[in-house]
Amino acid sequence: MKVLIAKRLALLPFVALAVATIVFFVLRIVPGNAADVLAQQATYGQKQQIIKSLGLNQSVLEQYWLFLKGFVHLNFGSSFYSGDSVAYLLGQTLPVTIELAVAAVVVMVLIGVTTGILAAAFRDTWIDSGSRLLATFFFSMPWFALGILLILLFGVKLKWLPTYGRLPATVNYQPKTNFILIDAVLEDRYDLIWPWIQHLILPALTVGLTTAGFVTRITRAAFVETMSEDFVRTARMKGMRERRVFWRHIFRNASLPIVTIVGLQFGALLGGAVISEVVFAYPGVGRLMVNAIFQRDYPVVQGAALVIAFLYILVNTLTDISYLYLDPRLRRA
Amino acid sequence: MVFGLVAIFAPLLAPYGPTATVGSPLMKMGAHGHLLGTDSFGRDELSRVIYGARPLIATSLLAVVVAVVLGFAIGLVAGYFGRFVDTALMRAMDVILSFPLILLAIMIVAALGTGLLNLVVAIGVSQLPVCARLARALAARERPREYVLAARTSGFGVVRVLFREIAPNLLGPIVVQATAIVAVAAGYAAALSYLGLGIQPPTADWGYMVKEGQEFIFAAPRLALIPGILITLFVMACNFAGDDLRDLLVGDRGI
Repeated sequence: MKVLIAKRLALLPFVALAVATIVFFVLRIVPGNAADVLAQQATYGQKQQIIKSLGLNQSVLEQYWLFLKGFVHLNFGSSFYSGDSVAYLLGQTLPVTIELAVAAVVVMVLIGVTTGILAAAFRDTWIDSGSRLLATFFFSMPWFALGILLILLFGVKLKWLPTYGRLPATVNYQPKTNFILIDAVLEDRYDLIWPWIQHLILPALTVGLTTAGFVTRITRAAFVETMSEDFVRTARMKGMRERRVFWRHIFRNASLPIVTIVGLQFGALLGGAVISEVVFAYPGVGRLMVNAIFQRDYPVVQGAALVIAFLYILVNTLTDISYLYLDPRLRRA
Repeated sequence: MVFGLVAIFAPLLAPYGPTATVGSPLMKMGAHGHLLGTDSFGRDELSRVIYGARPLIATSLLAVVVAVVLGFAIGLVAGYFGRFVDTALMRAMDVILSFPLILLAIMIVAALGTGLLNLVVAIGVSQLPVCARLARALAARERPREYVLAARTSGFGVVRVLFREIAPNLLGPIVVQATAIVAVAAGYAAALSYLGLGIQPPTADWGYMVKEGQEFIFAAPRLALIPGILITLFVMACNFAGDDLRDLLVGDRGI
């Protein structure tokens, strides 16, 4: 089992390299180059200077080599505009996105799995068809449309929750790790937690609800299938308590496809996080990237894209490893 | 269907041009014959809503064509030749899949610039691996069949065997897959447009209209709400159409 995990982890650097390569080359299919855009009003001399300072006078392969070297040292260059290093900007925004992603996963799993189990348990009743209709509705809903709807409902009409930002401007917060929960414990700032949660609810609901639809479908299918298996009937015949049949026999076997779909949905979830950050002006990596795109701030776009892609790969690897724990049959492979 | 018809006949249905200023800004619903009122520039909202369907539908359909045609070709070649070609092509697809797909689409648009065609390419490429994987599995299944062998021994060229003999047998599943992708593509197209990476203003486009409307969400919530709901309905319609078509062709309920 340890060997299997090691094997899976050994793949990580290769996937990371492939992903980094794609990010590098996709962002360099730009017609013309970044200097043309930056130096629209500059004289020829100034433009050459810009080109040189950005390292754009070297060949693409040289640039690629430098990019990889910088990448190993976590040096992603610095913003064309603010001059801040990209690593610093990512350090500011990545924790925010991770918080949002975790909160969204919680929403997605809670809602998706509960509705899925309910639909399976009350198969072919109105609960089943109702939950399936809702599931289709929510995963049909584009992230931003749901975001707007939630803003209208909870922000504008009911005035229950704030609709943009991460913390109210009146709160004095000096980030240390920039994970609010950790900082709250480290610095005794428990007053931060409640406003933070209030701001987090709507974005997390937006991302969680839109991705929960798939989880509902898969959960329902997995439970319906497992419940009709012979070993479940055998367990019942042995006089096992219903609760034990559910947790030890049905739930454990049905959880495998659910873990798969949660892992797979994480990509959609990160995409949703990018969009929701824009909708709710939530200061994460996604918003950083989208703003950088409009400013044609390529080092920032590149860094942000890399970080999001790596987060995704990491989660997929963890998903693969968690199979081994859930299904002993796979350990022999 | 209804969405398609509305989009095609937009010029006939819409009472005003989509970019024409016809009244004062932010007029209420029904005021002066503007059923849905006017937007922040005093343009007729109903007309913009009707015209706004066009970019979304065009982008999503074209993107699906790109994804299906290219993905199908790649998968067919990979599945038919197997071995080295298969490994190389499918690893390439795996690398694309190791991205959150919307991120890939955003990156491509960021690099190529905005505009309908670039949007189509971005969304098409991001859906490519899905089609390629399916086509590969199907092609690998067909390869050992007798009719393929017969065609090969008859001395037909590779291209003919692939596209005239095998391809027609795979159309059913591919069409089902394509309808499933339309919904995803529409979602992406709307999202990119919302981010401001789609068709540029002043052209009416649902995604961007939501964005514009968001600024006036307190004064005139309908400006963001109406296009938002329409996008949702469109994607839902695509999903249901896809499901129905699958049931019709495959004949089982699945998941």
